[in-house]
Amino acid sequence: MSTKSSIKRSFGFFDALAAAFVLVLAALVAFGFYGQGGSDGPLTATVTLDGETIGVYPLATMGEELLLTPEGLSYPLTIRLTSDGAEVIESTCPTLDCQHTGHIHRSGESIICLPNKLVIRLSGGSGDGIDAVIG
Amino acid sequence: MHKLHRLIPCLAAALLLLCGCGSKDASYTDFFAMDTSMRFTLYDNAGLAAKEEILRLEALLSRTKDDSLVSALNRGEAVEDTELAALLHKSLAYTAATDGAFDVTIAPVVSAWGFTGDSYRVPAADELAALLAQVGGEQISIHGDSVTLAEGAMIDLGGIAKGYASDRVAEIWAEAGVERGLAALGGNIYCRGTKTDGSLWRVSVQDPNDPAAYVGILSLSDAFAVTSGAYERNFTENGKFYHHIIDPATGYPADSGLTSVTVVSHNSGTLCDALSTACYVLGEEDALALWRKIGGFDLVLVTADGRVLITEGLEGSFDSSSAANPYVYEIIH
Repeated sequence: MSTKSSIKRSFGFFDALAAAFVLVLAALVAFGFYGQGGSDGPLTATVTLDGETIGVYPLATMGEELLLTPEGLSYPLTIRLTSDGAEVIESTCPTLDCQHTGHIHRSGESIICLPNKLVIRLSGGSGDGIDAVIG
Repeated sequence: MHKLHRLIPCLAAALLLLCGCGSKDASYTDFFAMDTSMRFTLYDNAGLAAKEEILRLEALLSRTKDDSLVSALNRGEAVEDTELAALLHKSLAYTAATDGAFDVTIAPVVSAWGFTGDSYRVPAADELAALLAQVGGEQISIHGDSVTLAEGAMIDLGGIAKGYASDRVAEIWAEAGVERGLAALGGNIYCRGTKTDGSLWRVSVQDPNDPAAYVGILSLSDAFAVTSGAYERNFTENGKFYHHIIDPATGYPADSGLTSVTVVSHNSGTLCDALSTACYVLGEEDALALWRKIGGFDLVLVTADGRVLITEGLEGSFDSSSAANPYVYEIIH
């Protein structure tokens, strides 16, 4: 009985305030941590050459289309970036696998040009929270 | 105010706990190996050692690098190597289990089509017939760790090496204490644990008829997944479509009625890799017969007539609800 009484007395206004503060802070951090739905910001295209990033392009805020012709490629190609995705529209490589991939528009999708060791990969956006694409 | 002090440790503990989750940002490591693009998704650096292992395996197993063991074998040399001998033992086991639908000795035929280089072509029928004489498990001799090939025979481990590499990634991550991560080795996936929010890894299976779309999403943890499809490397000549998955029985691109095969297993990436190719060659009926016979893996088959067949083990982890396409989905029991 005396123990109950002791606990009741020790929890006052400031304790409740501090507890509320902790709960609110936890909720805010948890929202920031879990509330992103697997999305890391707006839809973004990252272009890498042999594993090195040569360009990062936020697509969602892109007004007009952007045509890229990366330098130093064994087989020159042209990439078209638009607000909703990316595609290789022209390539001089013999296999044209990158061009055949067509237009990509979801997070996790990529276009790969093996002869050039070039990858265009999409991330972010409000898609389906895809972590990888197989096919 | 002194009462507030009693809760400060609680506040500090809560913040520390939340900061402990602060490694929410995944880091991505992109690189090229084994003729494909690879990516690790990790939350710390402990798993990066697996990249070196993949590069080591590439140097060992590549048929396009002159100094690899496989190139030495293909030149007619005898090779002594425990790891290569073990991998070829597995390859031969898959050849036997699939009635030859998976066969690493298909290499000369694949080369004739140009799929190992940059220039695709349609070989003449008599050229293919001559090359097929050098295809078959009997072309490989293994004695202990020593491996030799029959004269003129060649092997290509492209249908199993990435799967084996994914198995090695799994082992290295386990040894390094990596709790969560995803390795995308071309069309081979290995995912470990869950994401930091506890959710499963979401892997979409590409629509073979529309590279920008998908037939469904697999939610996976501690699993391997591999897809084989005709759309990966192909060309059209005189109006006819040719792709890189060669049927060892005919020497021509497989025409089995399947347009995509995905194999999922919790045990082996090597198995997934070999069986994805084999099932593509076998076709719907024989692929499902193999699934029933062997077990230990599951399938997503996309057929040329517009069906998606999902074996029962994936019933709860394959989601097609957000895939806008005309396919008819069916669970196979």
